Amino acid sequence: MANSLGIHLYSHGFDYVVLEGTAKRYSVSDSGSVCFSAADVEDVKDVAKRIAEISKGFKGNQICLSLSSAAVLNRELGLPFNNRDKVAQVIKFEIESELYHLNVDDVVVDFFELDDGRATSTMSVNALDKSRLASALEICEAASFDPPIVDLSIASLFNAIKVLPESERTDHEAYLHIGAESSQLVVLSPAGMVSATRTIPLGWLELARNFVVDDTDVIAADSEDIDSEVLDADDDAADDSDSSFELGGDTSIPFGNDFSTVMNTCSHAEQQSFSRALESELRRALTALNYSGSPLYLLGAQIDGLADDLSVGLSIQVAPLDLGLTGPDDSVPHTIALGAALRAIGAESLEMNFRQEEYRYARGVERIEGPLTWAMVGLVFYFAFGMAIDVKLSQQKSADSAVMYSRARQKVQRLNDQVGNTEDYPDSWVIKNDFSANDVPQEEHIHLLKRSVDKAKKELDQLMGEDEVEMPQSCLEAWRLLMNHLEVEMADYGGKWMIESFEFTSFNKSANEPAHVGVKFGITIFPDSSGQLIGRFDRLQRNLQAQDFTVGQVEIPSTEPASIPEAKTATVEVDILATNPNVSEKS
Amino acid sequence: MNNRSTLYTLVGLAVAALIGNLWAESNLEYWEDSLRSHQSRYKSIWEECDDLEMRREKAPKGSDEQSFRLHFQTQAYSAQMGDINVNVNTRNRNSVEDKIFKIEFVKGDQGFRRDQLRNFLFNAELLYPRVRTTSLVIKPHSEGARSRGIDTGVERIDLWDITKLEMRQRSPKAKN
Repeated sequence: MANSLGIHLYSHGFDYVVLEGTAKRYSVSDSGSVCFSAADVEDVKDVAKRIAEISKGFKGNQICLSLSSAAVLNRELGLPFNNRDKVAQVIKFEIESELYHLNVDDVVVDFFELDDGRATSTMSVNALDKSRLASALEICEAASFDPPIVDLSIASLFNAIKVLPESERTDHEAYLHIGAESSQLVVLSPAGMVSATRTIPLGWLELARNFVVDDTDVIAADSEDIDSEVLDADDDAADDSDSSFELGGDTSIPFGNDFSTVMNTCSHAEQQSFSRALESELRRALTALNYSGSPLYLLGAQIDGLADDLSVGLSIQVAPLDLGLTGPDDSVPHTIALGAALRAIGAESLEMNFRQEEYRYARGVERIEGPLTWAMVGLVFYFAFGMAIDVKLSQQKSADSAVMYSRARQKVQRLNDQVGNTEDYPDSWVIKNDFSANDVPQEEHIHLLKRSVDKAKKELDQLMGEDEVEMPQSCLEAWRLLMNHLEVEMADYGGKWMIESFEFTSFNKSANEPAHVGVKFGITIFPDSSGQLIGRFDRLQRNLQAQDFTVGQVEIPSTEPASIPEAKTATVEVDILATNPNVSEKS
Repeated sequence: MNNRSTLYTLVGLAVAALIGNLWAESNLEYWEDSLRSHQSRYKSIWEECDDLEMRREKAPKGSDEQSFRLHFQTQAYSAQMGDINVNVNTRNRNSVEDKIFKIEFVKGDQGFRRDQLRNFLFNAELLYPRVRTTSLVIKPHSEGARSRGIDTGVERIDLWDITKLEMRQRSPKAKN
């Protein structure tokens, strides 16, 4: 079952209530109050430590922090509309003229609607000093929690009053909560809505003002009358520079006194004085609120005889009020903290929340904070591990590259040594292989080395090459082509044949002819075993003409008898395209 | 340090680690490319050096007439064809320059076998760049009867007289 925690934080301590259950059905599982000592308030961490002991185990969205409404500027503002979202858009501009002594950028403003019976909407606007909000959130942060809701004690009082069963009100009812540093007055309309509110800067700690304290850091209060102290409260607050955090309370009152200690220590005269001061403040407030004759219910600190004193003094019915909720040991939960806890659990409220502007609650991050933290830890290790592996591999590959370059350089150096050692090798054949003076990274040196070798190769190609020149055709190649053909042509001939002469002449390319080799060769053919020779020269001419290397016409001007009987001799004229297929290899 | 501060610190660390990781990956990729480049270039350099070493041995070390004479004479000796006389002419033609070598064999009147001649011509062309045989006339060797020649169809040994041998080296004109 879900728990919720309400904390009412003020300068001299905090009250807390832990609720268990839901907004409709809940019970008080814990309740208490902690007083700060003078030493505690010297350091935010000490204060936070006290709160952390209580808030430990609560998730952020289950906590509501209620700050004292004392010293919170409150104004009533009439508006022609009451839609909360629309009002929220304009409220800060509307209230700015009322904050003549404050910079509107230094306060966070929130509001609730008053049920004052007027035709137009009246808003009760509260301006909380950002420094106080920052102090409170700083304490919470130091206590390792982040409350999503920061409310005021006056609103928390309303939440707590709503615990009472709804009865048919016939008239307004007033509720006074007597707190430690201040008292809150809420007037409810017959409809159960807030009709008016006042915060009276007078709490039961006033009874401890004249206590003697050992702590030298705390300024001892002088023995002025309590009434005059109340009147000068603003001046005293201005002198509060000793405390290390500012929550708006009167820090000139000694620290470290709980309610029972105060009541046991203070004198009856001081109680009477307190009752008179409170009566005076209440009269002023009720008169201003135009509230009279209806009952006034007392909540919070139960001071003996106070109800009777107020009843007599104000001439109205005053009675202590029990909200009907008790803690595990039958203790009465603190009203403001209860209201805050109810707000945290989702009960009816005035919907004020001062976590706005730069203090807005980051709910999404809060929810995933735990998993996100572990995810971040995992990511850090994952990335760091990956980085370490990559760096190691990079170093290995860098070393491999360096070894490869070194070997390539040595290979070129051996070639250069050969140039130096061979007498007829020109010096221009030395290939540059030292690039240490070049302003390029080490890993680019192999590129430069390759370029040097390419250059040497190109120079040798130019020396040996034929690509750029149309070469004359080789008589040797023409001789080879012709003899290969004759060997094949005469292979199946049974008779004898012999070459009488060769004459090769290479011709350059002309307008009419490609480059070729003109060949004249003499050949003598003897009759075969059957004595036949007829047609052999024609066949020779025909087959030679059919060869791929032959250009133009093959001519045999005439055949003549050879010196040997029956043999015939002829001169064959043929042009041969003697393209050497190995010419590229030769270059 | 509270949870939020811890989380922010971890987020900062994670971002830093991510940036470091991206840098390391980029660096690794760079060195992988570099290594691949080294491998291909190393192979290419090694092969080109071997090629250069081989071709330089065979390459002509000079381009003057004396170098050519020496080259042809060397090939003649290799083919056991004895001494030669080389007459060099130069002819310019469009964008090329031809060096024409007329070769006469001192022992030409004794005749040469065809394989000797082919061997000589083959090496003379192969071992010097851009050299071709542009004119060749051979006739059967006829000792003491050169003027009238040998009768056609008559049995004879494989000896030939080189009546004319002309080789040519063609080079592009030097560009100014």
